[in-house]
Amino acid sequence: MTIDVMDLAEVLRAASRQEIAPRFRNLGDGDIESKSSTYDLVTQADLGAERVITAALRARFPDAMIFGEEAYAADPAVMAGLTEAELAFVIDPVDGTFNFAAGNGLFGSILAVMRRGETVAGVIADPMLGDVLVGERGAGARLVRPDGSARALRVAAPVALEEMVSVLAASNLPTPLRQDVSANLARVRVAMAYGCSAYDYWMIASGRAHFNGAHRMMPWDHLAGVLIHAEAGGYSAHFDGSPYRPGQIEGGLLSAPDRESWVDIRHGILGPLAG
Amino acid sequence: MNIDRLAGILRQAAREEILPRFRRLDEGMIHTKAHAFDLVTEADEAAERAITAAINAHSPNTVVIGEEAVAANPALLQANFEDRIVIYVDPIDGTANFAAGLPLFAVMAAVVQNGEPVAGVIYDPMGDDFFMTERDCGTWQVFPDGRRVRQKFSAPRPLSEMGGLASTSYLPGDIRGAVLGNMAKVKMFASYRCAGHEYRMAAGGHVHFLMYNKLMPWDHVAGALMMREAGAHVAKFDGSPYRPTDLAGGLIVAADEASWQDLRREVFTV
Repeated sequence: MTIDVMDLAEVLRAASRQEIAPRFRNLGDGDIESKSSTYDLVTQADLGAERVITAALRARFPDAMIFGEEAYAADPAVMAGLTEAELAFVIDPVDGTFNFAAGNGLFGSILAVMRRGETVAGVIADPMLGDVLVGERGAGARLVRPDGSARALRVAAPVALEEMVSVLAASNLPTPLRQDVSANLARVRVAMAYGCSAYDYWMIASGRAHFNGAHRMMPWDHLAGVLIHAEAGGYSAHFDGSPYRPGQIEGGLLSAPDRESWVDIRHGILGPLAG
Repeated sequence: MNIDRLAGILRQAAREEILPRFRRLDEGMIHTKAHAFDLVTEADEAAERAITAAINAHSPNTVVIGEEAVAANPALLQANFEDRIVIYVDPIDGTANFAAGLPLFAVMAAVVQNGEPVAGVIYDPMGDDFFMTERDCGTWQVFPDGRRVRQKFSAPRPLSEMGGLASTSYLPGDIRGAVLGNMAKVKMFASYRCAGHEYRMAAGGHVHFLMYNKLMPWDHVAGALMMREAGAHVAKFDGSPYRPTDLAGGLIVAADEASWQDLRREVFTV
């Protein structure tokens, strides 16, 4: 079955118009419900967008496995068999919900397509402007604006660690790794933490930052971004150096412009004990 | 100058000079000033010109000071303007984000009279809304439809429950490492490279502390006044009040003085 990645982008855009954009900075107190903590907010936009995206995909691909972060939160069983599925769609309707709830524009919608354990397409959408990053396995990655204008994405040229820009969020790492990585990040030129996986990958895939990393990789946060980054020329691997296995949750993930940079970051930022 | 008029000038500049250039796919307009991460775009320069001209058209005696004006005349930062009104302008706060295509940048202005901040505006071009403050009148979010919502800084809490934002890039290397390492003591730490939005998030109670080391007035005068007017404790590293002429000495914003002292002692060990 053919996948039209720009049709998928339009699915995300439509969900945004209907469910996300109208709610941005329009949250009444009743629109935020706490999941596990203050920083883990689920908004009605999240639930509404996932419902709309799921329905649109179900209409197009009736036999595919389709689930999102919210469906998983309600029933983790929806993820079972992801890496064996003939065709699977993984949705993050609003990535960056803390930013969304706090009223800043760093949030995105993410959609990944898997076939038998391989990520074959990914879309990261800016819900406010309708711009999308799209990647297709073997066919490159590009930024496409709503008017159809596009630009190929390319990761940053490799530089020394001291010249790098990081978007790795140390706050999400477990202790004691968190403390080591936090201190080590003083070695790079700029250490950002944007609280939004969609824009972390946006930055490294478009060459505006050099590396990203995570300790646990929920698939809706990483599948699409890793593919887009790879199609823009980047290199990703688990903390132990083994190739990223899409759908793998444990084992850590580090993304860099190339393998040599990856090794520098692995040793210079994560240190010898991580793994 | 009336704060609503000032807000309107910022919005106009954003519409005409800033938004049309965001994520434009030809990047020839971006050039470097000091190094690759201190980008100044044509949008920045054109917006500052437009804002300065608009303010001067309404208030010819007002001194308008922005990054571009100071680049042309560094003496502006130290000049004594006596009783003339000074408006500090940051046409695009978060230029690195803007240049990278991240929708997190702001247009800011701060009004200073006799050396005292009296008003501040932080405009978000993406959401078309304002955070505004006037001395003794609180901090307010003003929506495009005119709705106004009073802003309140978060309530005090233990260090391990705090989430905060800080810009550590301008700390000396060894101190920077120590401070970043100390961040493991708080619940959440992020850094958005855009003081304007960080002040907005803090004014709305979404984070519990802020820290800045480099204190250019267009980056911090409006936000610091907003913090005080939203109920926060604002002071330099040595505990003294922040003034618009302070360019160094660090700034910590916290829920109250006790929280401020906790952060100063445990996290911002400069």
